[in-house]
Amino acid sequence: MLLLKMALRNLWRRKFRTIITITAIGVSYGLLIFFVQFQTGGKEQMANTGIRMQAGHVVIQASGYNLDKELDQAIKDPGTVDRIITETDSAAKVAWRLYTTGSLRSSDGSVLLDRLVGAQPDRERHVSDFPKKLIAGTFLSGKPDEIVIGAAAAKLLQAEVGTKLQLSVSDVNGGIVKVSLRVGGIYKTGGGTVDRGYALVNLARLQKLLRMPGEISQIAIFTDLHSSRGLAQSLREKLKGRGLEVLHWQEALPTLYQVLLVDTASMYIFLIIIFFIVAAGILNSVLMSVLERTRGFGVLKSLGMRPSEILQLILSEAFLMGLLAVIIGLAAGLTISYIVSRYGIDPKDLAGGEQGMEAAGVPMTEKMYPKITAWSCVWSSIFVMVLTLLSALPPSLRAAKILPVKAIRE
Amino acid sequence: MSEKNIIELKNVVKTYEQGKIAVRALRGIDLTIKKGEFAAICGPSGSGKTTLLNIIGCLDDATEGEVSVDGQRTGTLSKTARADLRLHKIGFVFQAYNLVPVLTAFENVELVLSLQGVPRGERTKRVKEILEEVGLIELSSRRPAEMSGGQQQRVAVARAVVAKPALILADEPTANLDSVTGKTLLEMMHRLNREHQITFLFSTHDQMVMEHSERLIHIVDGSVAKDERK
Ligand SMILES: Nc1ncnc2c1ncn2[C@@H]1O[C@H](COP(=O)(O)OP(=O)(O)OP(=O)(O)O)[C@@H](O)[C@H]1O
Ligand SMILES: [Mg+2]
Repeated sequence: MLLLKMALRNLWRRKFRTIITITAIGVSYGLLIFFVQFQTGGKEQMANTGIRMQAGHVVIQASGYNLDKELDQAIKDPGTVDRIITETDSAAKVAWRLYTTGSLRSSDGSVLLDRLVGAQPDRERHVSDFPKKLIAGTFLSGKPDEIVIGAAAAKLLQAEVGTKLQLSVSDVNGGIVKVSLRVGGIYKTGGGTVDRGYALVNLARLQKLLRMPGEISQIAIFTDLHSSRGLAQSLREKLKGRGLEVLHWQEALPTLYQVLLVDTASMYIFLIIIFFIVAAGILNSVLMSVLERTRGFGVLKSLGMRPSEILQLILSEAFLMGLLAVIIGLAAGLTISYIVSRYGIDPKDLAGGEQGMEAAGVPMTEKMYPKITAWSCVWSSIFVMVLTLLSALPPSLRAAKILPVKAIRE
Repeated sequence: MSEKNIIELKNVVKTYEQGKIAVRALRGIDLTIKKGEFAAICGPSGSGKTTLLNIIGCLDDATEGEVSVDGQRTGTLSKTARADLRLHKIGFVFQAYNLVPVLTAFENVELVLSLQGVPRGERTKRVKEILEEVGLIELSSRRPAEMSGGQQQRVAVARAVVAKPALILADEPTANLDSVTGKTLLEMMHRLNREHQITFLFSTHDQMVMEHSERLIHIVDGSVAKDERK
């Protein structure tokens, strides 16, 4: 097509400006892609860490149960619920947990436990992050008197694997219970609160101590981030009338969810910056070339080119620039994403500190990786292309509308 | 309205508003040009020649009066309809050549046919024919910047002629050319006029163009002062 040829040659005639515009848009678009993918990866990782350590993709508990508070609001018959879960989603992994607070004492010190978890060793091992974070000993193995504590707590208590500790908790009736346990394993997540205030014991043992045989606080269900909403919905229907509530992780971990939303907002700021770079770059480039070529458009009109064809000609120049920029940006962004996804970025390097980083109580100590998705490439390139055409529209319309004689006289 | 008239002007007035001053460039022009004429408008600088050609070619609007081209009243046409009228009925040749700088000689001529939707094969054939006719076939792949003024103007004439329009408007086509080149060009246009029955209307200062023309329309201060046929 002659029109396309003209568009290409017009761009080529202004090489320097064209290249600058394309590079500016391409580079910023490449950064956008990387940023979006890195952020998606980081957010999913944070969500997953929070979900594995503190909840599940879906959580079932007694209606109105408030974590760590009322022991008597428990699930009395978890076995039945378990069966219903398996019927609904046979692939889902399930773990029972009983939560309370308490304190640990050794001959050298003491710590308060924000969260003492009674867990099922066999099941917890497959869903929780703690087994992966052990720095000494083993995870719960089923021995009745074992306790797994965090590294910070171990330091305060000057405890090692095998050290005897005294645990005090209050039972369901409010009576203080003291029991002697041995450190079975020590984990280190890097999160300050978690490493000091969390501890795990065998579920059966804790039920006995709290005088709550067969009862638990929560059933945690693990599937994946995206299908969990549907699962929560169907369980909610099936469990109606049992005095239970089914929470999606976003409801079970509201603070974490808020943090993730704030993170999303920072992406919009990035989008707005890109918006200005693209809009200013294209508008400037197209406006200048339209002003320079006003006489040329007059000539084209005198030959019988319609206003709509003039519009097409200029828009196709902008389109070509946008397309090249998108290709460059995709290549650059995906390359960065790919390299980073091979090596990962340590959050410590981002924060510049050695201390354990936490967000909404979730330790952020693992390396973060971008998540490369086709969808992120698709929507962002459409965003840039649409923006390109919109920015080119005002000068193009001007050129399309101008009276031929005015154009020729310039 | 006669079938034989390609241009009919009735009491055409053009007033340019320049701030508070109104410049009356055309003061009531009545003019009829028949199909196949080879006519020139002459007159002193500023008399309104360019203005008149622009209005006939729908590049500009008349302030008052009626303009018809090939039987069609142009005053009320939309921008797109005017573009189509120019595309199919009118060719322009400008004093400053005005070729499309990014296109070769061949492509400049081809552009008009391409806008008309003529299929590629026929386009190539016709462009070659006309470039042959104006003696520029060897320069087909040159860009305007690589050609002399006379060569560019021949390309411009080829571009105006290639679609066999009913009318060619040429605003001082020889003004930038030396007398020999100008003469060749003029003879070429005259030949095209005879062979293809294309009406030519010039504006000119050039004595030679006036001598070649079969009709001379003298304009003074925006009015027709004399209309002589040879
Ligand atoms: N855009 C404009 N705005 C104001 N006045 C104009 C405009 N164009 C032309 N004029 C005036 O209209 C009159 C006729 O101009 P025109 O260009 O038609 O003259 P011309 O006969 O073609 O002159 P030349 O031989 O110098 O080309 C002149 O007085 C000129 O100053
Ligand atoms: Mg003039």
